[in-house]
Amino acid sequence: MGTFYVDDRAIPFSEGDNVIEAARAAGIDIPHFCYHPALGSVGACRLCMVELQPAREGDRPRSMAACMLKAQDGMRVSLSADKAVAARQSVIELVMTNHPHDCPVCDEAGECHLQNMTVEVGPGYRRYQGSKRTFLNQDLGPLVWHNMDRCITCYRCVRFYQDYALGTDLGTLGSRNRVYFGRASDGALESPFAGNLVEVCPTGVFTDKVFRRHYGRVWDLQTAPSVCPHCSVGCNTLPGARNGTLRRVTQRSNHRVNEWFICDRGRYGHRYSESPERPLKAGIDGREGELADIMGATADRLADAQGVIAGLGSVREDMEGNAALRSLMAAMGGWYSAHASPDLEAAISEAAAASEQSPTLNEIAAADALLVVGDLTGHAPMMDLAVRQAVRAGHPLILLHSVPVPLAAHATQTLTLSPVEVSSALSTLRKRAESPDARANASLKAVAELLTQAQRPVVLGVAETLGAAGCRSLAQLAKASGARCAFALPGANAFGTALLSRPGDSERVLRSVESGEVDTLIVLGSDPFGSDPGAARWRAVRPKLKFLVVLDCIATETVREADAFIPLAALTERAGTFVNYGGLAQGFGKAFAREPALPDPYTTISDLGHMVGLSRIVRNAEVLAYKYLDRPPVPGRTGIKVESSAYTHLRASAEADYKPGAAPTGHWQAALMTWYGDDPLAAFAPELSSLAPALAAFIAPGQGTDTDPPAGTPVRLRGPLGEIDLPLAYDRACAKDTLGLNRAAIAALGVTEGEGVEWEPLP
Amino acid sequence: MEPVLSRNFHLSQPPGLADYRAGGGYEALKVALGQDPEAMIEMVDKTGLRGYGGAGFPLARKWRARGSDAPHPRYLVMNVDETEPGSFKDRQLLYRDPHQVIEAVLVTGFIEQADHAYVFIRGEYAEGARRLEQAVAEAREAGLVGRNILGSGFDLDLDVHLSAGRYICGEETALLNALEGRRGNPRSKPPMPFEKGLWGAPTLVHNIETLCHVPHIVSRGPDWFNGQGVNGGHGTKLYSVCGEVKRPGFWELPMGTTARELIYEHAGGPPNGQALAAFLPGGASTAFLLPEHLDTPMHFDAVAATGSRFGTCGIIALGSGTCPLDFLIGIHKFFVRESCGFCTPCRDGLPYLHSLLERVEAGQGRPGDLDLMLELCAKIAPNSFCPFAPGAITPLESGLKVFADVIQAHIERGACPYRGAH
Repeated sequence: MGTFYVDDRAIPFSEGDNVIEAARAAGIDIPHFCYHPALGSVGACRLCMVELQPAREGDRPRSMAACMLKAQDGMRVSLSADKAVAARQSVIELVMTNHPHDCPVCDEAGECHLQNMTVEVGPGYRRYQGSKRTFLNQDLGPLVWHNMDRCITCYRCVRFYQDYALGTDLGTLGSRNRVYFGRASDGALESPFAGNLVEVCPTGVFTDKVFRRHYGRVWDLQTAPSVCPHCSVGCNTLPGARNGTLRRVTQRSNHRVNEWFICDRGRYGHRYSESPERPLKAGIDGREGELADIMGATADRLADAQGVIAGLGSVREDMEGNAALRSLMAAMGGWYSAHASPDLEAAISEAAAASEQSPTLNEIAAADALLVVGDLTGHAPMMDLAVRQAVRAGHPLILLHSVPVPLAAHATQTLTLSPVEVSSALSTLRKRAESPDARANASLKAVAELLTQAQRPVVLGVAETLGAAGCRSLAQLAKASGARCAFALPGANAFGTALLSRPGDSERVLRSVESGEVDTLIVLGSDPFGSDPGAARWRAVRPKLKFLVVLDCIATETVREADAFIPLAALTERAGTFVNYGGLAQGFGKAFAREPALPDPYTTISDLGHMVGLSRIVRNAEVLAYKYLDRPPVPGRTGIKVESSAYTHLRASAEADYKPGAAPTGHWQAALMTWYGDDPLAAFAPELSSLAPALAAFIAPGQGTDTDPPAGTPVRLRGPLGEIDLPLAYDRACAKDTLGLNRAAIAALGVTEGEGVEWEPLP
Repeated sequence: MEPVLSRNFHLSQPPGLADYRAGGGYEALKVALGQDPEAMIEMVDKTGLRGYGGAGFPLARKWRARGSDAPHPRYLVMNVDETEPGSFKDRQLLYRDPHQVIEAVLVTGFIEQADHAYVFIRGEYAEGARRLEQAVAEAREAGLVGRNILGSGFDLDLDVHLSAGRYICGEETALLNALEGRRGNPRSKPPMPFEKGLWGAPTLVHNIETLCHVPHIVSRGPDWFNGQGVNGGHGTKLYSVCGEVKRPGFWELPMGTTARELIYEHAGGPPNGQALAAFLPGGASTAFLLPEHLDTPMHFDAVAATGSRFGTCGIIALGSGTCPLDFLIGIHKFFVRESCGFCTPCRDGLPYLHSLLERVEAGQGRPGDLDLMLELCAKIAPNSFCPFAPGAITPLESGLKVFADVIQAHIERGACPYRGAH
């Protein structure tokens, strides 16, 4: 610690701070382009020039870049010295020699750092009369628009893309005043975090290509602090809407979650709400109608359903809607669960129960040893980005996986194991961490030792592929090795729905339908008859349902099956609460209203309750939704952690001894293959979905005694509850005996991770 | 004067190992391997041998800055990225006597107790690199390079690295980046390369000519070395003169030889009856000297006293019949092209100046252009990231001042005053 002075104002600093950082912390924003709090200092733009007063009398003052100047006790720098002002103006003048004067037609205008700096620092007029250098732009794919003529060469893009996010397909090309930031050739950017280029670029070189197609001036956008609905991390976002349509989503900083960035699923997944397929009309029994009429007709039919009804909520729906459905079910004598799959419900409970000490993204980034089990990139992309920061700092990353995962490129050690082997490896690791005498092979010994000896070890797992038993093993391993543990959960509010569940609720809902005791089902934001885990079992019981009421904002298979459908506002069109993977409850605000206005699930379900004569739904739902919070979270704040009593409840749920049925076995084990855009909502975002990998059944080559059938051979897959045909594909990053399948295929076959699937080439 | 560095330059082919040894080659290595490195540092310190790559930093001080307790691995890099316009002395050493280069690396490597050595060669000197690699193979075969050199127990291997070819890669930190396979952009200092250089390890980067003196000093002593100089200089120097002279070339002469002797006696003076208008004493990135400076002894301190720099001492002469603005544009274009593009003042400032120079040259100059150019010079040099931009600005700023009347004449007449003059 020490004090230095900026124009006689005392600024405290910590050892190693540079002047720009310390001044920023004290509220003095020294003009800059290339400096970025997350990307650090490189000294390229020279806009942050200050005058350093000499320490010795008689020496001359020196011009220094504040971003490269380490603060020292008693040091005196001046922002206002004539030479410092002239130096900064000179930088503006020079970067503007080539920058087009196209602000009136530039997408960046209004939130352009270059524009702001030019106005703040000056000069206001151009003296340069020469010609400007120009470039050819590249097609960088569907998400990011490229306009290199605007570039001021601050290197932020490559420092984010390569250095921070460890991407390899965007780089610095050329030299002198023809430095070019782009790819070796045209093509879609490969990084799951490419969209951040739009925000790190201080001007309009990289802009949002999706926003561009339906552009609005940024000062005209209606916004509200929001929370990303596309995974369980709960990144903070700022949706922007205009004239009743959502135009874009940008990052919003919350040091407890995402401080600087969001992933491309979060940035571009919002397009589900503008999908032409989106169901906006209420309907019942094949006819569409006004919302109020349909609600009335639905309520009429629900009135007779007392005791023969069940409710299925959703991990992607908010606390309020789920709580309202659970209240309604309680009042109508029906079971409620948010989970179509009993297996997944158990896994979420186990994972949430073990998450009391879960690390934030910043804490994951600060880990000194990491074990990751499963495809973090596909289930929680921003956790992956945090892991990359620990890797950058030189810390070891051990990866256990069954199918190809992007983090493998950055792992110190990769154990490619089938799902069944992953389970046994986890239990071996746990035993080894608990007792150094436990038997283990050399590589697992080394992993256990690494975790137990690290100062800040972190273990991360994917609840959906680990299953309940795997989540429990991983949590026990974490406990035994002193590691902090976090799980990517299957849905933005999966933690929240675990708080609303009771042990075995999902199985109870399913059984009540299977047994015929229930013939009416209300589904909120789930897709049990489509691609939700557990869908195969649900599809079999569809004929037993006399009345299926569905509330959703996307066109799922279940919506098509509905007898009554009530369209919901999208998550940017209403307020609500999500609880993230770490038990952080965050409120999200309503960014705009769509015409005609669509209702939120809480109001809809409460209204249905009123119509059937149940008036206590609202109050009960409020109590349930915020039961483990000392107050409802407010949008725009940093969130509220659930109280420790929540974990008591979760542990009780988890300990209710969930016993999965005997897993169907077979030679080939199913393994879920995801990608960073894989999410039920984002599946309706056309630009993002266009990047989805091709559908196929993936295996590692060379496993049989016979020669491999050629890639692309159509094969028939058989699971316990269904069949599906897919082309065969090979990837060496698949484990032996492992069959990598996408979510829809897994749902169609009726298997969970590691369960047996047979396949044969089609004639 | 007895040639030292150029003693084998009379041969039509560079000497092979046998010929080099027959002329006393690798004897200095034997001497060095039997001595205490600290004693040799002391010896070099007495000569005041300075870096001939342009900066002129005393060699012994560089060694002491790193210190004998620096952690291992330690790297030695010989810089043969000679790209300075007007300099072609290093090329002679590389092409004409590669074993002398190897011996210099080995002796210095022993003094520094280095673990590995790299010779970083300008991309255009590919033939020289090939010759050096051939010589390294010969020397390795003979037990001079590699493990247990001449039975001394000292190990040093040497890699020849041909640069991808940029002027900036001669700047030592950019060179280190290039050697590591990164973009050849300069690094920020501190940390200095002797603290954290190649792959973060202590690294000393030296010019080839500097190091070629070291074996001779080790075997013949500082007094012998110092006795070679004249007019306050020490040792010998590979001088070169090019530009508007009758016989451009290079000569090994006593350090301290005057500019007049170099330009008029050795290079024959300006051709076609021209007078000498001015000259750049130390390569393109130094300030102009005028005929009144011709009697300056060409060594670091004497040239510094005139306000210019000794640099690499590759003299470029300008005759009285050539438009100085053309000359300035020619030099400036080089620097515009060679900027790495990292920092704003250099990347965008130099092309701005270029556009103004071209405008004046084309007869489109405006009354304030000279002042504008001087203003830009004053803002670009002190605010840039590395010494490249100051090096680019130095000849331009000095030329704009020395030839202010010529520049003004361009602006006032709307044409080059030299055009049609002869």
